[in-house]
Amino acid sequence: MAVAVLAFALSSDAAAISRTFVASFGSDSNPCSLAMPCRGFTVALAATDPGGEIVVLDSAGYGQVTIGKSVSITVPAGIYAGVSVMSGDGITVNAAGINVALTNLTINGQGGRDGIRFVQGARLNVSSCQITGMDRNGVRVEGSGTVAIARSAIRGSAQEGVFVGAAANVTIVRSRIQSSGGDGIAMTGGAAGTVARTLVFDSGLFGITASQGAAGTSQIAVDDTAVSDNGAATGVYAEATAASAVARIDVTDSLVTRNFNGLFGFSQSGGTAMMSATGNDVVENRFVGVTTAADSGGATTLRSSQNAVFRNPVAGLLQSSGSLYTNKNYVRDNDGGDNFGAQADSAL
Amino acid sequence: MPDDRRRSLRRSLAHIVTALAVALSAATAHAAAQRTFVSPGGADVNTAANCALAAPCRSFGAAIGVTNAGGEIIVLDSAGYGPVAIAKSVSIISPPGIYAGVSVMSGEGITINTAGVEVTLRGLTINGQGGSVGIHFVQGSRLDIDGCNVGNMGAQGILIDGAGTISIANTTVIGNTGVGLEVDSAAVVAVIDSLVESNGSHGIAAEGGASMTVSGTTVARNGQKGLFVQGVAAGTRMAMTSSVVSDHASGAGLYAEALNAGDVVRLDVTNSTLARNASGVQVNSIASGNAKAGVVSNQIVENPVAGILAQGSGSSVIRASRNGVFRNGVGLSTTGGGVIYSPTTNYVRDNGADASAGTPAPDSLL
Repeated sequence: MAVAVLAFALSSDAAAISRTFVASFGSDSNPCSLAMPCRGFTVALAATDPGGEIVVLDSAGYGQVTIGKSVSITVPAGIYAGVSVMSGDGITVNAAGINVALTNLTINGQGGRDGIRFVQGARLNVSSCQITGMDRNGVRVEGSGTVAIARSAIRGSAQEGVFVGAAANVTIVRSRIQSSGGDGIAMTGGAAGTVARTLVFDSGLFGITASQGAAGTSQIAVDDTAVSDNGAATGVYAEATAASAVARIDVTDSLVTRNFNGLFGFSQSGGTAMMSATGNDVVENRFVGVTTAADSGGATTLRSSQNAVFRNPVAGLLQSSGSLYTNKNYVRDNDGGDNFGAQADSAL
Repeated sequence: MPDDRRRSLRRSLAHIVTALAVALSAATAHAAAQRTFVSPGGADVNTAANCALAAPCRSFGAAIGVTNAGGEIIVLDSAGYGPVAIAKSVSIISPPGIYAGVSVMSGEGITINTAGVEVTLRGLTINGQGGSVGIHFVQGSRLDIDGCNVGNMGAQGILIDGAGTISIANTTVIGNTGVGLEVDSAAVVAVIDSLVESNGSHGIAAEGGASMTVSGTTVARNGQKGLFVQGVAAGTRMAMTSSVVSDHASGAGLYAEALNAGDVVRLDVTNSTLARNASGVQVNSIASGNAKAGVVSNQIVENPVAGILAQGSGSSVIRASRNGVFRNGVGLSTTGGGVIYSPTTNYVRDNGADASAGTPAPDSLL
């Protein structure tokens, strides 16, 4: 009887275990146990129970991996776990309903496409990861699910730093999105996002965008974030360009500086763009501070309150078309003029 | 020499050249790893093995020579790894939890001085022991400093005097003799979640057309100003948010000046605490300068000279709104022709004098 129990336990261990280990000195012919670790993430993942953990024991590269079950990959402080992406994607999450956590990975693009690609799943948590030099996106979310990116740095992506193209719920907190070739953070396709305590810096195009080009709603709430030096386009931008398309951004307590425009809501072709901005510093952008436009059948509403709008050379507030409402904003030293058409609104 | 012998000599020379070329290309191929490693148990002769994980090198200087452009140098264990001059795109990564020291006996700790390079420095501790500058960016495309400690240098902790895009995160710059972080070029710089403290001169200096953003950072107890911003004709710009600037007894917390004809300087500070400096915010200019500041939604307290000070000529203009200005020498202070505008949205109380005569100038909201 005792022998039978032991045998059962052993075979269960060999099939899959709740905690597996990888190490520079490991071997992929090992069972991925602490005493006999594996060498790469892919083999360890196959040996890990759904809902289990892969733990990195020492510094090395551990290779690209496609994740099709619930798992945590954890790199303890003091250890470097690299994923060099020569081609394809660094970490791919692709199975319905799975929960994945990635902590403290260093993903380095060497010609590869996306750093972390969420194709489908229930939840993805990216914490303290460094993702640099990808050919497309640092983090790409293509499926609906709940995604959180915390304390991570995403730098030098050729396109968007973070791209969300599905009805996912995505939170970005205490992170840095820098030197993206395209937008810093772009959400579309029905996404709902939150960006807090984050730096969006040196993007080639927009800093943060919610856009919707088909029926549906994409929206982002931005709090206490610095959106700076996104030189070619707008710092924070909402765009709705199709019938029944809605794009919303609410931004508060943030610094929006040295972008092309500061805040811009735009709609056309039956789309609805809505923005609110409260308590932000919108200063020293290269064109206009806060602006709206609505072309051919679009509806744009931007409500601006208690923002400081200084030294944007073309205009402080500019209602090109659409509706830009102003309440208690401090708008000065914009060389071209402080207000072009913004509508005074009252507070309760 | 008969022709056939000459031919054969030429042929054998050609063989030698070919052999040399093969040897050289082998050496080149072998001096190229995407990821290299350093460790206290390593040896620099392991460059012959590309400082591989199984055969790590001992120093950054050796490892960088065998690291591919765009590659990574990884620190495996706590030790000192020596100063290094970086002339290619590379990341030097010491994971949190490992100490990677650079003791600088003389000269500079880390120097970046090659056009177009992109460099990452992660988790390094740079300690001056007679050396001048901790991290010196002379030229390059991008530099990212993350989780580093730079202290006790004889001159600046970090000096950026070439144009480029620089980010500094989660970093401490403490106890350097000169300026903690000095940017003296048209660089674009973001500083986030960092600490700049107890440096002999200013905490952070922006000069020479720099554009800086500072967020989530504490600047405390430096010898002169907390942040010093000096205009030039092309404009020097500083924007600070969600930060603390405190305990600069002999200088302003934030100081901006345009003291030559045509100088342009811009200073914006929001959502921050400015406490126990000589003055909280000070802007100084001559009439033909152009100095403007926006001071919005801050707590400005316990600064013995002034909370907000516009001095010099009428080109010093500060727009202040929604600040709490308490217990300073003078709350809102103007001297010379400096102007502080307030749209009656500041709460100014318990100062030695809440405002100097004629201050603030009335302003309105929109």
